[in-house]
Amino acid sequence: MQLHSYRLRNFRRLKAAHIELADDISIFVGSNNSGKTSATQAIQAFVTGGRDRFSLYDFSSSCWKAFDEAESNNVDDPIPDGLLPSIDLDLWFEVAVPDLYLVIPLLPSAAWEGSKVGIRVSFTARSPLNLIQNYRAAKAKGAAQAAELSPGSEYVPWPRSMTDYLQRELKNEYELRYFVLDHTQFDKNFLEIGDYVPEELRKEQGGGAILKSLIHIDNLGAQRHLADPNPEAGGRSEDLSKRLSRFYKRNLDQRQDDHAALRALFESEQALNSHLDGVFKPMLDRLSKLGYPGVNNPRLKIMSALDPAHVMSQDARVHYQIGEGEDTATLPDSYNGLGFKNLIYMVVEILDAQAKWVAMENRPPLHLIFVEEPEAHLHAQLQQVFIRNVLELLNIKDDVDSIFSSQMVITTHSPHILYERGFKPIRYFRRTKIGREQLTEVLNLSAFYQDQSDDRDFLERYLKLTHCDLFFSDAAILVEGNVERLLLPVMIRKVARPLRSACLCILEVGGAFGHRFQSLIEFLGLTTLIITDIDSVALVVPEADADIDDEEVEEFEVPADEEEDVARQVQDGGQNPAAKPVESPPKRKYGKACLPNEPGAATSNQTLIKWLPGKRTIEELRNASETDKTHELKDNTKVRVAYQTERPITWNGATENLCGRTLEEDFSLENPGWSQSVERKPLGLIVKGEIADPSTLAKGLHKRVSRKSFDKTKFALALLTEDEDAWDVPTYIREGLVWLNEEVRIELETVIPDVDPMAETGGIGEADE
Amino acid sequence: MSSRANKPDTQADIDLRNCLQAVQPRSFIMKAGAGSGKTTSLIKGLSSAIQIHGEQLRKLRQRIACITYTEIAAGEIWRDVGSDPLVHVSTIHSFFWLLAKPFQNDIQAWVSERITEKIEVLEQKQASYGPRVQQRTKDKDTRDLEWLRSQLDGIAEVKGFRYGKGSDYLKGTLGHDDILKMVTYLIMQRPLFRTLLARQFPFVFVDESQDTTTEVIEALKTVGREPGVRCCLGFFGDPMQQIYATGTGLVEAEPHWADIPKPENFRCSIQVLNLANAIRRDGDDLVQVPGQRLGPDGIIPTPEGAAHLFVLSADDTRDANLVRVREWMAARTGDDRWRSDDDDHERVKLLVIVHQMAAKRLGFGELYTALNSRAPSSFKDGFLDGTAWPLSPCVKFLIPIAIAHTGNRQLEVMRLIREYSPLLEKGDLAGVTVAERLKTINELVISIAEGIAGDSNVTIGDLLRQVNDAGLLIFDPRLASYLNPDAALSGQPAEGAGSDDTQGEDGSDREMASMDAFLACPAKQLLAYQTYISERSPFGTQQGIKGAEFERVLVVLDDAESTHFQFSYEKYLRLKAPSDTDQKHIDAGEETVVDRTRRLFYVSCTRALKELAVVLFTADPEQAEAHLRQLDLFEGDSIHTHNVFEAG
Repeated sequence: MQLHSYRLRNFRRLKAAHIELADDISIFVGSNNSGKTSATQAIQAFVTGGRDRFSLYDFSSSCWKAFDEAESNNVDDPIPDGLLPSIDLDLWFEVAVPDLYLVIPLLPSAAWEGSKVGIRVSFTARSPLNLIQNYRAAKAKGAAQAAELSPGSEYVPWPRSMTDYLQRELKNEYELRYFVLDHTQFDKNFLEIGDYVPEELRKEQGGGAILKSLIHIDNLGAQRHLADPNPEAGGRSEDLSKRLSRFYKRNLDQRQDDHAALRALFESEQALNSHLDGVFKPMLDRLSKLGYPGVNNPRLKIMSALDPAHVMSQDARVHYQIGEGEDTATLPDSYNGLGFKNLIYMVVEILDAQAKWVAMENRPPLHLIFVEEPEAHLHAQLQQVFIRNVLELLNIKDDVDSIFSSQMVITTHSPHILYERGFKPIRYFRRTKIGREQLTEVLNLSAFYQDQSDDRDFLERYLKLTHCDLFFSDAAILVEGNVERLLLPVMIRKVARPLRSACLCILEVGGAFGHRFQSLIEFLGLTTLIITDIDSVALVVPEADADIDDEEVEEFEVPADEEEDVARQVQDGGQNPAAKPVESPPKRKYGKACLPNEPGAATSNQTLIKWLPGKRTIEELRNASETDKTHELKDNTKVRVAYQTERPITWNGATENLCGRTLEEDFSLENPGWSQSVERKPLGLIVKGEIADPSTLAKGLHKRVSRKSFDKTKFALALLTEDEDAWDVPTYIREGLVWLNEEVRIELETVIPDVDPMAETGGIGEADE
Repeated sequence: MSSRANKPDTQADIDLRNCLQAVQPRSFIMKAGAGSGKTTSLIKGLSSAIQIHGEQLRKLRQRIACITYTEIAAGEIWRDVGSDPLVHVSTIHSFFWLLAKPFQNDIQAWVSERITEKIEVLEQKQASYGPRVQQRTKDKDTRDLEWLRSQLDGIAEVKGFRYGKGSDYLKGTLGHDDILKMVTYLIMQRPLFRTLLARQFPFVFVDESQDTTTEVIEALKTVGREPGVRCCLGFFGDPMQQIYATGTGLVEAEPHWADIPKPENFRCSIQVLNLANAIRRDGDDLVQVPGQRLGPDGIIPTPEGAAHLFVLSADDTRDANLVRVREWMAARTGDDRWRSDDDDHERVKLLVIVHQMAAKRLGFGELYTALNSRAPSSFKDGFLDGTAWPLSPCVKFLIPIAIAHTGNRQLEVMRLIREYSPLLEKGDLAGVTVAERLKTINELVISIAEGIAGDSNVTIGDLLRQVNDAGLLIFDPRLASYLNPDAALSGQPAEGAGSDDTQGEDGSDREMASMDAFLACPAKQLLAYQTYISERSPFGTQQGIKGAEFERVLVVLDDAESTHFQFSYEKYLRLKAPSDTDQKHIDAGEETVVDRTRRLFYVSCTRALKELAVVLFTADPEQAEAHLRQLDLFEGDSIHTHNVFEAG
């Protein structure tokens, strides 16, 4: 049995989020403040917490308004449903038919069929009517007492408003209730169909107990604040030996006479040893290959008092064992690197949690482990080792073929962790905004994986190789090449300074591959700017049978014409009208690079042809409007393309409307005098000979840049050494960046710092990423 | 008490363990005759299952179900397996309720369906009234129908059903019958329900399977056949000891099941066992052999014992003759305890099919007649164990409280009131002081005690009405409707609306006549009746002694005094030809009065540890004696007539 998914309503910024979990490991990613931690905290609060675990700040911001509006509900009017907001958690379990006996209390009927069993936990008003009456009574009492004071003060007694009242009284007025969900009454997005009302579990059935009997949750928090006053709640940076000995103490304190527990301790200790030896051997071997400061061939050795009775007075010690046989020497663990310690710490915690779960009386079939940001202090290789091997930790030898299963959820900001397992485990927390409210939507990348068989492998490999931070960013910029990537930071500083504080992901993909990101960008709904080249070509009609081996001739694809599609379908005889239209194979075309202003020129840029703006000729591109260049994704997020556009260029007293074919050409046209001056020789853009007018300049530049000897990287590096105030950003890039700045500013401006002290405790750590 | 799990293994126990040890545990039936230690084998089976599969079961949150016939047996068996929580021992009703309880929606639907069915039956009955139907019957039907319709309207409002003593749907209470019908329905109709049962309880053992209903057995077998899950079924029983008409008798083994016979008899003496095998010979093929008895000093030989048949005249000398039989047995066996004395009920167990003679002699003749002659069979069947619905409140509450009060055991009085009466429940006490309420109750108790244990002529009806009016007890709605016929909606129609016995015009008339007689009985007869059924008299009923054993047993065969049409010793012993109805049953291969009587006789005789005397009262003893000698049941020199007394 597994936790298939869960839906949250009105929980902080997760106002309506449905989160699907993979059966083994799920990875939560998203930019900062996208609700990843809330998503892990919510399920824990509902399952193992209780109503005391909730505060008014856990309600989504729109609920606050609803609370204050509820205040004005007429006393005598019936209370409408949903007048007072509730926080709901729907848990959906995937249970094979033979295992349904574990969830009998959650089965809607003995005639029921299916495998998805749901329970809703609702943090809801005990009695809306009483709540409103109590509030009014409190208010009247406050007012009466205030009236006795000397008049003339601005003082307003508690409660000033319903929210003010609930700040104090929430725990008394709200309670947890449990409902059985009938999957047949839900659509494929796990939303109720029609006015279905789930059946409440009767009090004596004990919804909370049922839930606890099914699922056990452990949360391995991220590193805590360094000045944490409570030493018992230390983070991963604490002395590993202390952590290990606490592993024993915590268990021993409770059950000193319980030999089963002592045995479990003993066994988990052995399990720890063998796990560390076995599972992490490759990692340790790798470490030895990398070399360790000062000592050759270090090996991990855990030396602890094997007699559990003595463990309480005797701290377990982690040592490094160096050397073999008689030459063995050990180093105490304070000599451990921070990263190594963190890794061991996590392993110990996971095994500890697991050992406790296995030894539980009436062990719940499901173990859900949240690990927050395991990457802290781990260098890239260790991160990858961790994520590759962590699932092996979860295998319990005796549990083969049983009802028990472990599921792990990792929240991370590390691309090394993220891409190691491909797209399928990724759950992307996407920030959206409806009205003034900040919300989060959770996207399941495994759905993307299934739908996009064409591009997914390319994308998975690309993202893994480049370790790009697409999933953590506020916006993405797809650029043509290295030059753009190097220069963009400077250009942003020049024309769109506020963008510097946004998390931008710059992907170097080139026009030929940019369109392959379309599906992913659209799936994620990520604001994206594509900076590409116009890639103008003069079409060449190939001779029949003639091999085109001219190096200068470029082959590219354009989609078959729509008319041709229609024609093909007609040929089909319309036999298959309902079937999806038969797509014609793309047509091959050939062209030679030419200046953009050459009449009849086309573009060979696949992104421009296939994605945005979807045009084939330079003429069309020139005339493309802002609307053509922009595509709206969902809830106001947009993609915009930027390619070289014509504007007046003045040279030698003449002014012409021109654009370059590449960034370098267009840069020089943007800054003709400056770039052609002798001092700019390192840029490599100086056109020799007589330059009569702007077109001649453009021609000369095109020739120069097209030469094999032209070094693009040298141009970029040389430009970086120049005074950045002296040159202007090429118009098309400037326009693009200004647009992006506007889009991202809209998105970011209303971010209110999370008021809940419990939320995002790792915020400081996150900001470092 | 040392656990029966530690007794030595018999071959059957070894075979059973092999069934459980298989990778796919094999279902089985164990046929074990009287005195074979069937329950011991059951307990050993449970222990083996725990030992072999316990760890796995615990891990998977599964349990072993063991179904027994009574709650008392359930408690004993559970204790014998060390009160292991892995084993769920209960009656079939409790077990079924455990399975059904989580499915409240299905229960509600089933209850509505059932009420609708009853309404349809009554409507059909009304549509086909014959000319002989009494007005009283018509009125009752109209009331019942009205009542059922109001139930149907109210059922949707019921929040949560429970399993209680009698069914009261609007209060959310389901009775024993409801549970059996509903859960067999769920098992037969819902594959998910079968899967859930098999996965919760991969082992289901049934004790006394011969008296478990065919529907229940079939339902469990269906679970065993359910594809995709495994459920190991084990039935422990003896078709020869089936007592209840609703029992299934022999459970047929499915293909691939193990059929495990347990032929040992550890109880009876050699003579008694020879007779038992002779009786059994005509029933099935199980031949019992004396089991090895282990004492502290090694093997104890099986006693020789004795089994005598006396064929005597069915006249008014019956009682005197019984005394003479006992004298003769005492002289013959040299055991003085055959003779009558003050502690008679500890000396000889006298087994009779309930008969009027006992009732008359003990002083509850009218009560007996009211609920037996021409009474609905549910009354007759529930007479001996006090479960017939008119009697049950008397047996459970009124008689014990009268005895306790008379014996000045006030603690017991209060315990009974707390257990059965709503008058001391919190909800009922609102607005009344406890002192006042206690005073009311005390007055009621005094009047009950006077009625039952005193020397007044108060009738049972008077007493019950008084209790009903005061609300001291909540009566079964069927009973309540007789106490207060005007309150049409307060009672439920006779359960008979659905059962074969009271169906038709005749049925409810019979019930009404019977009830009238019952309510008019003097209340003091209840006390005598109590003495009788609590077996503090030497009389036992042949139906009520399953599983029990006694040193000396006297079985009385007497058709003339019996009003039970299901049994006839004369037919069984072929002294009387089968009736036309019997012949029809024989021709159809159905169960006959002969089969039933043979089983009753087998059960009665096998109660004897040492000596057994069987007395047949018949019209023509001489002729009967000659005939009986040819039957090869008793040894020739063990068959006697009244001549034997003269000779002695």
